[in-house]
Parts: sequence; structure tokens; C-alpha cells
Amino acid sequence: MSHTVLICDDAVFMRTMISDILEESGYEIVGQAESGVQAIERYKALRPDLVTMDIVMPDMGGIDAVREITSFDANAKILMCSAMGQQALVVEAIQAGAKDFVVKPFQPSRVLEAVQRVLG
Amino acid sequence: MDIAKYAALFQSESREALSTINEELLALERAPTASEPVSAVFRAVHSMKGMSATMGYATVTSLAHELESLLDRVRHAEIAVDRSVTDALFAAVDALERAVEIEVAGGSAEAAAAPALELLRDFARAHGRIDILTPGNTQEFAIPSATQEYALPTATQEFAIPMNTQEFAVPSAAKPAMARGPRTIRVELRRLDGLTNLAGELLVARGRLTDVANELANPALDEALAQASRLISDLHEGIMASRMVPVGQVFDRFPRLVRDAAHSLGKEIELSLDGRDIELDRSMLDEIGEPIVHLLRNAADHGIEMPDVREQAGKPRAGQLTLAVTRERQMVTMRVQDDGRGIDREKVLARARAEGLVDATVEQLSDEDLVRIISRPGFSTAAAVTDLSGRGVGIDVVLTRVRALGGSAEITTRAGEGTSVTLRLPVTLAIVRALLARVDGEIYAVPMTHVRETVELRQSARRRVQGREVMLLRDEVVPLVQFREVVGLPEASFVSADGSTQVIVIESDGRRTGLVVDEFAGQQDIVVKSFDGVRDGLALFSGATILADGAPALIVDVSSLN
Repeated sequence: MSHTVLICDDAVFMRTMISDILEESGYEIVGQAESGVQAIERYKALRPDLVTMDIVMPDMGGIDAVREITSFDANAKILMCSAMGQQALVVEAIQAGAKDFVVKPFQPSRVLEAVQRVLG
Repeated sequence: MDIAKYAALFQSESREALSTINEELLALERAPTASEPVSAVFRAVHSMKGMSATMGYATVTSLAHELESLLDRVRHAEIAVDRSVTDALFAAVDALERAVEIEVAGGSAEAAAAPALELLRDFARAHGRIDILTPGNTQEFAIPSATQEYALPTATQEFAIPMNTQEFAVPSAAKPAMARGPRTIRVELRRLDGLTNLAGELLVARGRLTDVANELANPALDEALAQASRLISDLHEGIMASRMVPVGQVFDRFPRLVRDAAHSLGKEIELSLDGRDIELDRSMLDEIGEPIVHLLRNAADHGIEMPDVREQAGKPRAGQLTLAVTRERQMVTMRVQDDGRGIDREKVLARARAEGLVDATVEQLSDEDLVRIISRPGFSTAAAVTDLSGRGVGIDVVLTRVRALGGSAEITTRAGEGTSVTLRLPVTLAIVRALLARVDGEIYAVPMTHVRETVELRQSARRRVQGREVMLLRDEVVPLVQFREVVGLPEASFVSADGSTQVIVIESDGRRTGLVVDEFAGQQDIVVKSFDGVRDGLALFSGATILADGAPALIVDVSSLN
């Protein structure tokens, strides 16, 4: 059975791109969220195998969402999607419970590598 | 990967982001210490940076990056927001907007963005930090060489029509579902126009079919026809609805425009925008944007007084400018209202006397005369040509375009209290029923709203009164205008074999005129295209159209003939 993924990003553009990259490699996108608050709700409802999480989002940022999700499910597998120049935030996210990160702009191969690593 | 799809997504999302940015920057300017606007702008710029870097749009990426750095420091209170900061931000956002359009179209935005980038970097230097994103940095991850090959043709991108109806809501239950937010599809307006015309012709065909069916009186046929008839109506409505967009799509940039106008004039103006969700045909919206801008600029420039003058007159220093959009059945009303000084009757009168538009003995202008005079082509009372308006292109341009779109305008003004211009427009634009007439082989279109009747005029009903040609229409004497003469053709009056001529009796402002043409060429629903650019010498025509057979035709501005 293919792994299920929840994509969290405030830009449709980014969600579409990540979703296309993953779907092409056989992952099943079960949901998308455009804010931290939505990410938490949908994680609880969908229980995906993997979450991709943007850092800068309205309502609640990605790092707070990671905290909430991992406190609800310690085994949650979350991949951070950061932009250049956000190294400090990436460290914070990993401390909050994220498993790995990729840097925008994405290269499909790097995204897939990271996803495979996280799903281990 | 399908780059064209991403380019389109990038563009529409960037436009949304830019609209948010402009809105929030205006909020920031009003409340320079508020933190929420800065955060909102930061998020939107950040998101644009990520998207543009992915697309390999280097200039958008650098601009967004510099903007983001500046915003980050504003956010952390390293830089206090003052006029120089907001001006720099606005300038950078304008450059960003241009860069998005250029790079999506496959061009290089480097030159266009250079001044803004320099400005942002100067700012960073002046505040003691610089952080330049080098091009090498961006391109490492960029999608290779994709933008030029796959960019959509620009014409398509101009007319994005959001289809709000196709929203996919995600059931929060376990059933896997895709949530992609409101889904939109870009359709060339030309294609929608084609569908609109087809649906219109289908309505006409239905009419003919109904006539035939009534004669045959066959119950089975009637039933089948009733069903087809409903479907045709639904189809027509559906197509018309797919052309509708909220006026906010165009009007949301007006607060920024008024803000810039006010600053350059040294005035304080608050624009309130009502009814931005009201929907209008996209073509109509494109056509009406410019006239509305004209009215807003007029109000900012001539209507609203300088703050000190307002204070002396017992008014608040900031002038109130309102753009209110309301919907009344099949009409949309747009009212531009200011609380400024009102139109200066004395000045208008003086100018009108000087130009011989009124009798020298006239002491006071009636409301009707005032409107008539300021509506004349090129009439302007501006003492000096300002940067904003008063270039000799006056209210007449607005009125001509509104009439061309099948609408009407009303102006009221009170000395010291302000001016209000109300435009009434059909919701479904741009498609008006017209009578077609042939003159010297060319087809001209006369909007049916102005056509009283058509007459085959016998020689015996023609007269000359005080040197003018007139016709006798029942008991009335109606002046005749030779269309051939009006369009500069030498040979007057085309007479058919039996000695009669074809006359269209037109009416505007309660006055009738007989327009002599070569022959009638039927009726048609036409899609109105008003003129851009050239304005002088075209007073006779309000626009042009493409006829069903693909031939172009000019649309006669009836009021210019009276």
C-alpha cells in the first residue's frame, strides 16, 4: 500500500508542485492544509504517514503546528519545507519534532530522497 | 513537469499576494506601529520568494528577497516606519508586480527592477546591513531553462476568470480527498466571447423554431421544444455567469492609486470602496476601469481641496472619496462621490463664454447646462495642466465610453459640498442590439436603444427649412443628416431606383434626427469594443465591433449627430 501524505503550505503553487512530485512517485496525497491550524485538524482527521510542512503560514506557523502535532502523536513524521535563509528556524523545527527538511526552491529528487529518509 | 501550468499558478497566486501586500501596506501607512500588517506583508513576500525561486524567475526572487530583508527588520523594530519606508516599500512592490508579469511572459525584468533593487539596497546600506542574494544562489535549484519555452502567450494571461463555483471542500472525515482551495481555470476571453455569441444566436434560433412549432401545433414537438428551450436558457445563463467577476478584481487597486494621487498633490484623501463583491461581466469591468480611474483622479485633483482650505471651510482635513457599487436588477450602479468644493460654476461659465458655448448675457448656469458644458469634448477648467488630470481629456471621455457600453451617467454638484457622478451600466455588458446600415460599402452599427424607427423616405416628404434638409414624419419636422457627408464622402444622398432613400430616425436627449444611409443591413447583437489610445477625430464613433461574418464595423455615437 502506498504511503499517505498531508501537504501543508499557504501557497497553492507549492502545494500543487509538492503533490505532483510525490504523486508521480506513487505517494497518495490524502489532504492539504493552508495554515498551521488546518494542518493540525487535518492531521488528526486523516492520520497520514507523512506531513510536509511549510514554516511561514498565516494563523499558526509551521513550527507551532509541528509542536501540536507531535504532542498529539509522538510518532508523527514531519518533513519541513523551508526557504533559503531560515536555518535557525529549521533547527527550531527539528527540536520541536520534525524529522528532516528540504529547502525551497525544490528539486524533485531532493524532495523524494528526504521523503524516503523520513519514512525510513 | 508541466511548467506552463506552474507559470499560470504562479501568476495568479502572485497577483493575489500583491493585492494583499498593497492592502496591508496601506494599513501600515495608516498605523505605522501596528505589527499585523508587517507580518502579513512579510508572509506574502516570503511566499512569492519561494515560488519565484522554484520557477527560476531570478528578478522576482531578488526583489522579494530584498523586500523580505527590509520587512524583517521593520518587523523586529530595527527600522521605524515612516514615509520614506512606506514609499520605498510601495516602489519595490510596484517593481515586483512588473517583474512578475515580465518574467512569466518569458522576458527579462532585470532592467525594469534595477531602480527598485538599488533603492532597497541603499536602504539596507543606510541602516547598516546588506544581504544580497546572488543570482548563482537562485539558479542552483531552479527549473532548467523552462520559462521561455513554456510561458503562456500573454494574451491568455490577461483575462483570468476565476470559477468560484468549482470549489472542492474537503470532508474532514477520513475519506481521502484533495483540498486545493478554489480551483480556477484560465480561458482566453476570445473563446468565451465566441461561446457568448453562439449562445446568443441559439436564443434567436429558438425564437424561429418556436414560431414554426406554433404553426404546426404538434404536442410532441411542443414538449421537446419546451425542454430544449429550458436547456438553451440555462446554457445562456451559465455562459454569462462564467464571465462574471467581482469588481474588486479591478477596483482593489484604487485605494493605492488614490493614495499616490493624494500624496503627489499634498492632499489628504480617504477612499472608501463599497460593494467590491458585486459581479460584473469581465469585459465590462475591463472597459469601465479606466473611466472610474478618471473620475477618481478628477475628484482628487479638482474636487477635494487642500487640507488647510478644508479646515477653513469647517470640513475635516481629510477629504472623503467614495466609490460605491450597487446592483439593481440588470443594471450595476457605480457612484464616485467626493465632499470637495464642487464644480466651480463661475469658472465653467467664464470658460463657456470665452468659447462661445453660451450667450454672453447668461448670468447663471442651470444644472442641465452645467452638465452639458462640462461634457463637451476637451472641456476643462483646470488652471494648470496637472500631473493627474486636466490634460484636456475631460468628463466627455467618460460619458462617451459609458454610452458606448449601453449605460448612462448622471452628475450632481453643489458648491462647497462636493460632486457625485453616477454611472449606470448593464451587467452583461458589451453586447448591445444594433441596427446595421450600409454606407458606401461599409457597415456601421447604430445601437437600437437610440433608434426610434426606420423609414423609406420618398422624395415628396423632403423639404428644406432655413437651408437645412428636413423630412416630414407624420406631423413632425425632423432634421436630416447625410451619413455620407458626416463620414467625409463626397457624393451626398444615395437614391434607390424608385426614388426613395433609407432613413434611420434616431433619438437622443429627446431630440430626433433622420440619418440618411444607403441601405439597412439587418439587426445584430454586437460586442462593443471601445477605442483605446487615439481619441481626436473619433467623436462620431463610440467604438467598434466585429460582426458575425468577421467584418469590423464602427459604432455610431448617436448623441454626436444631434
